[in-house]
Amino acid sequence: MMVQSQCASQASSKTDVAMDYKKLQELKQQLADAIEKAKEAADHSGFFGFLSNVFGSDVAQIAGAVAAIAAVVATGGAAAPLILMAVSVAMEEGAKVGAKLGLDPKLCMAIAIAGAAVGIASGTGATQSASTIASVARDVKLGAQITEFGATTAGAGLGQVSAHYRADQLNDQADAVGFQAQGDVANMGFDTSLSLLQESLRTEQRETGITSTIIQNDNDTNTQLVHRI
Amino acid sequence: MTTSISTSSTTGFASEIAALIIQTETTQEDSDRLARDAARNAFLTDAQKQVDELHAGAAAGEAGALAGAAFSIAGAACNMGAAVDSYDADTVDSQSSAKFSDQLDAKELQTAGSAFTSLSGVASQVAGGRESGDDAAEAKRYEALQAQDKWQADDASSEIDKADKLGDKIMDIVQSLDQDQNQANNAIIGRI
Repeated sequence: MMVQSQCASQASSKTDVAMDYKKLQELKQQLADAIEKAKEAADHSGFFGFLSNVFGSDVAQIAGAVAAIAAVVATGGAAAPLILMAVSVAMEEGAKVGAKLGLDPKLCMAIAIAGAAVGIASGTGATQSASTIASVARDVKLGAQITEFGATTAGAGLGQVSAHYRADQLNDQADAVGFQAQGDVANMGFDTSLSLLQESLRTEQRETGITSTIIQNDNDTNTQLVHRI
Repeated sequence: MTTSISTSSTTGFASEIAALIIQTETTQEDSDRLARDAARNAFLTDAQKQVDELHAGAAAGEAGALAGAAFSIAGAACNMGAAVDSYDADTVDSQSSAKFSDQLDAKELQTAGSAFTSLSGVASQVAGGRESGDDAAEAKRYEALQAQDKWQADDASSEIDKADKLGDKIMDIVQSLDQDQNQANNAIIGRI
């Protein structure tokens, strides 16, 4: 009867072990899926974040610099060609100094190119009337400003897309944390079921041993009594 | 509660002592099981709270970014309008009243644009950036509580294992004593 009881207990423990194992496998799969999704979201977030930086920072800054130069030229009037030459020289020197001071190489290159462009414009400007140069400069300024603010808008929009993917990533990571915790608890339950099974097996072994000892003792006693009769 | 111990035989005495010890250990084990189950439940609850805080932090961060982006875009739109108005003012006749109007509009739009752009960081913080940080801190706190719950569950499990091992040892001793007693009885029977 005792052994029968232990067998029932063992069967129950075995069922628990099997169920816990299945649950653990499911949680592992869910955890792996959540991590994979978080990784994908992180990739998307990084890509859109990069684009946001390019538009919102690099493109906008360069366009802003061009607009500032065009504004100087547009308001320069008759002195425009001279201003252009001065600006060109200043920009070339500025790019060199900026590079030495550790400024972003892309920005230095953009300043140097803009400086060269201004230099060319100043050469052309010498042969043209001041009003024409001012008019072109105003057009350039407007175009550069629209580019600057358009790039800022695009940068902000792309930044929002990046933030959305970043939120997705954080949500997936949070889910992964939840699955991990559930897995930990399932592991603890698995260990408990295993130790209950182990205990039940030990108890069964002991009960079998006790029963066999009792039977052996009864036999020994009977043998002794038979010898004595 | 007092329990009488019979003094009829060594084996009976030992068995009763063993039974008492096992009973005490069983009570302690039951208590440890309850403590372990409570610690596991607390662990799950704290984990769920941590997950909720992480989700809330993600949502707050996204809301903050949205507000910041909205202010940046509004600022850029105003600045763009200011640029167009400024261009119009530059290109119309210097004596025209439209020039003055365009200049005024450009100035106003530029001021609004600068204000929106400057406020984008603040808006981002107010709309969720700061809350996101708070949520992250709360999530960390729940993580620490989970670690504590796990230690408690592990401690309770260790105590249960110890009680099991002690129970096994006592049972082995009692079994050995019983066996010795039986052998002695048989020897006596043999001598009678």
